[in-house]
Amino acid sequence: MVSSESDLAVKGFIKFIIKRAISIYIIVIIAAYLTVVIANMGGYLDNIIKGELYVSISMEIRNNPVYDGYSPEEIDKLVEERFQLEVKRLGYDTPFVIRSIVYLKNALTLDLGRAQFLSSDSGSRYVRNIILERLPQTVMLFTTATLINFVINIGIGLYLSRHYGSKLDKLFIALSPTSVIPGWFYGIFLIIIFASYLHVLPYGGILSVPAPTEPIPRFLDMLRHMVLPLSSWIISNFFLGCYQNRTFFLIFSTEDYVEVARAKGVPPRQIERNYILRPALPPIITMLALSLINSWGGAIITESVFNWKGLGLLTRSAISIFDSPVLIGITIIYAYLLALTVLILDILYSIIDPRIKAKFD
Amino acid sequence: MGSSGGDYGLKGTLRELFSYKSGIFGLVFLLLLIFISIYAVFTIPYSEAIALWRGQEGVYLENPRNAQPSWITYFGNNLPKTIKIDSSVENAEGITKIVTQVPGSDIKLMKIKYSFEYDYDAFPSEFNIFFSAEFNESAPLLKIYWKKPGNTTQIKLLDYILKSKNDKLYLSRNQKVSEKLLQHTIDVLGTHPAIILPVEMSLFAVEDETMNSTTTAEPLKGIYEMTIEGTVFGEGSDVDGRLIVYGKIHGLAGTDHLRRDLTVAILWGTPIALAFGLTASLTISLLQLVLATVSGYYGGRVDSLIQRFTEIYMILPFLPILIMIAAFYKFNIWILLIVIIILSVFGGGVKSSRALVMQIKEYQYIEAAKAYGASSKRIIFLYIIPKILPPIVPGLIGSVPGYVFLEAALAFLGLGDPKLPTWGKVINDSFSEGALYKGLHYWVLEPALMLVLTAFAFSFLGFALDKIVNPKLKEV
Amino acid sequence: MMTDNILRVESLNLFYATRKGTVRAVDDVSFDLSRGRTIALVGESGCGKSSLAKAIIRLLPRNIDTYNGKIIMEEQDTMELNERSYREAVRWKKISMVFQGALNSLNPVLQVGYQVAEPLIIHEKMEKKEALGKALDILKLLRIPLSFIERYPFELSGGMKQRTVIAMALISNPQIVILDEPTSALDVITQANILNLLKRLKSEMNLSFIYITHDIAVSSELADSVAVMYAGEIAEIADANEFYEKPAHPYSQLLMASVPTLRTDKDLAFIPGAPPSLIDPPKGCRFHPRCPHAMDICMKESPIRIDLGQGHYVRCWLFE
Repeated sequence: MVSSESDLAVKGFIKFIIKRAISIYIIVIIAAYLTVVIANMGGYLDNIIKGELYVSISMEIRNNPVYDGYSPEEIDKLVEERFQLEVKRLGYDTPFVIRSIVYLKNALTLDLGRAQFLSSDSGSRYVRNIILERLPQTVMLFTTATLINFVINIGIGLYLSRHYGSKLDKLFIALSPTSVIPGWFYGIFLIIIFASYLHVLPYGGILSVPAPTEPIPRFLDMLRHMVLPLSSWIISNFFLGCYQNRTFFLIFSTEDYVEVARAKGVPPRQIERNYILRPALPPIITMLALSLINSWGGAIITESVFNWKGLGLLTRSAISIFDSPVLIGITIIYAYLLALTVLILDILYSIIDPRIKAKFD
Repeated sequence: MGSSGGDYGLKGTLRELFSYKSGIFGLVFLLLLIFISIYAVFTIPYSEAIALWRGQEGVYLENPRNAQPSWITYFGNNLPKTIKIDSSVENAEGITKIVTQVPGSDIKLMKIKYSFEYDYDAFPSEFNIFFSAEFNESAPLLKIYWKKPGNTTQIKLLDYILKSKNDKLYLSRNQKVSEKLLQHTIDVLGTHPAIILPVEMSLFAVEDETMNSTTTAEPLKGIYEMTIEGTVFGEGSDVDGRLIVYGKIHGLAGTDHLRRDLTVAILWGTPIALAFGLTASLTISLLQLVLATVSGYYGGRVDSLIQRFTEIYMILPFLPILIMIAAFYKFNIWILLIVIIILSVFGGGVKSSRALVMQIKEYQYIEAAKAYGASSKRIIFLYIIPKILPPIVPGLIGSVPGYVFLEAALAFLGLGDPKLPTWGKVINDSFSEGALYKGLHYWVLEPALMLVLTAFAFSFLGFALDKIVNPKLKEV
Repeated sequence: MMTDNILRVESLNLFYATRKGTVRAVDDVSFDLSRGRTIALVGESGCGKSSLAKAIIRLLPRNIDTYNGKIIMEEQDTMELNERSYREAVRWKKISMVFQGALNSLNPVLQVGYQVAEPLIIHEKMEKKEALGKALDILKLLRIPLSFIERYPFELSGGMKQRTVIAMALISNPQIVILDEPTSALDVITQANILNLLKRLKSEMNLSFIYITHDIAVSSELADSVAVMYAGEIAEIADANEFYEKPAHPYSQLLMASVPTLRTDKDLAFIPGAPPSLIDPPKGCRFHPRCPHAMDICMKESPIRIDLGQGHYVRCWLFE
């Protein structure tokens, strides 16, 4: 009896996840379509894609030994003919609405074409490769930052909620407004102080130039470069984050059942774990996911300030040389990133909160 | 305890605001900002500000490049101010002009002597002469001489034929002058210097072995003399020169790489930032309020639709899309504002206000109002909106800095409105020009501190307001 | 009369510090409770009943100002124990509590069975399986469906939650159980069920109850003795029968007179005025502004505890 019940629960759970994944993916589709439309309002996407097509046809014909003896004019004419045929075949001369669907499909399958100017470190001109090459650095830096903030906020938030009204508590409340300044801005100040004035930490970049080759020194060097960007994010989030958590935990610790637990003689550590933290987990996880989502966005400017070779800096470079395929590709990747985060959030939520779990039975 | 429950009169709120230190902070900063804005708008009209910022027609030609703010001298460094001596000015100090007519021709011999005191601990940044001359066919021939304090001998710097009536002689960049001064340095040192001093340093350096390199050279203090001996041809011809010894400090805020006085940007950045931030915040908050009310009150399909939109917005990558739009379409700042509003309107505020609307909707007095036949419009405007308006005010105020920083961020990325003197643009310029590497900290710090001031003004105010509007937060 | 006192409270004080002043929530309260008996603690909202309960079970708020007196259980003054010893020796072992608002007394993310069994796990250091087994026993006793062991609180109805909370209070076999308004949030039928349950438990397990309520009628179902609380003080304390027949204190009389009786035309009395503030109580006798028999001395001096014999005490100058 027990096993089939839990079987049912698992099945229900999976169904729920699939449903959520689908509805989230629909939103990704909408976001991608929006991107396509916006990008093409100035005809950019058209130019890119048609340009791609022309180049690939051109290359194909010129590399084909059958046409070796042809004169340049004849080759050009051939390419042009072939190009027009392909345009018709692929439907690139249809009205925008239809074309946009094709573009959409390309975008969603991450067929993002070739960059106009940029290329990846490995030499690839494919936008997808360029972006994927940069993605890990961004994720590494900003996921670390978000996690560190998360842990700090909860730890200090709990502490403050236990000592609320104290001088320390009042200090945090008073300084909360300092968090309105984004991390990248604090970063500028940190660079001025520690790099420009004191010369103890690097201005930016991921590794020194030249970088150490041994794994451990290389790793340490990278850590050294992470200090300022991480610190800027931690400082920005610090006071408000801890304060919000503290208020949050206060509200949760004034619940009746907490008092009951105290009356029952549950030791304080256990009360904190089972009666304050655990019920607070679902909203806490939500906050984590939201801050992760925000971190992807904030990454763009922070990376530009610190010259951190990730997705954000790529965005800035793409802007300055106006490499539109890359910009479009980045937007699509971001949409996927966000969608993934939301989906994971939903999954976590349903695991933790019994109220939602129960819906599967 | 329903003391401050529904009592949001302006006076009462203000009074309560003063009881909080953060409230006072915020208000003081805000008043300061408003004052600066008003000052900016009234002393430099908008069109003039734009023109100044564009720096056309050599508006800034007489400003030094990358100059520090003047008040930096209070902290020790005796940096030079810009010295300007104009021979065309009547009875100018430090000028002696002697004109001798050569008998029997229309040739005049001129000797203009410029003398000034140089008393600073650092070298000037540049050294130019701007001429204003009158002549018909033959341009004046000039010989330029230089005498350092204490020396009895002059150095001949240059033989020069004026190229136009308003010719500008950039002595710092003049090849011939450089070579002449290098020769002079070799004479002084007895050997080739380790590092060749730039023109403006050579002209002012103490004449000893310290001329060997830029790190050891020291400025010679005393009275300097420059003499221009000119031969002018033609009836009514004349030559006047405006000597400009560019300093390293300028104005309240210093200058940037284009010689622009940063005070313009700092001052005018204020009303722009305030206008941008407040407009964005107000519009978005109010629109969200309307959406929330419609969604919560009418429920049903409209509600679901609006909720769907809100969810979509949550996953839309706001910043990348904004960047994409700004990069492709290069809007000016106000269109950018509209784009930001469109991209934010279905944000999180809708959800929270909607929750409140749903709560209020169930209250008895709404039922009562419906019972006596009040129209939906009446209920919404008379009952619901007054209840949900106060809670959003703190958020409204508190989110202003976010939009100001957004604009700054876009400017930092190079997507800003290049015509407008905004703080973000200044930071963008400073970073592009490597201000931090060059030690030009003021260039970054000034706009940064203005941003901080703005941020704190609204943020502290918003937090204090929050405590007033949500009395529960006070107790907890 | 051989009294087997299981609880003796002497001159218990509990004051809170607030912005507006010191709240004298429990002011010089004394009473006794015998084994197997129920004392009903009756009074208006805000008179300090819940504070008294919390004072007895040592659930102190953060803004405490004064907390002293004697709380003697089994010859030991529990006030002398430090927090740790109190937790190990007294909490839930000698005395437990059913809180007001059972609906929020259960942790929403923990299973019901675990919460009921938790005191055993903590105090007796029992294995989880064994403790859950005992929890099953007590669920049976309280007529709660056994399947609820694995359920979560949000799946229970109000009445079932109340029973669960009572089960939770009984599982470690305490001698004294404080019940703070256990039935106020329930409908009449469920209320009756719970009262019957309590009666059964009282007789089967020889439990001593402190039953706190504002509803004097409900209290009469269980009470062996009645204590009336007013403005933080015990105004009167007496054997139940004697109290219901002949309440002595004017306040008690008004309370009794305000209870409607079924199918009898009765002019319901009401007590004019409002309950006094516990921060700045009236001078002299705290009830004097609303008392129909107020005398001069009542306005000047606070009445002392007068023994009317047979465990009947009253704080009123009328009986001097």
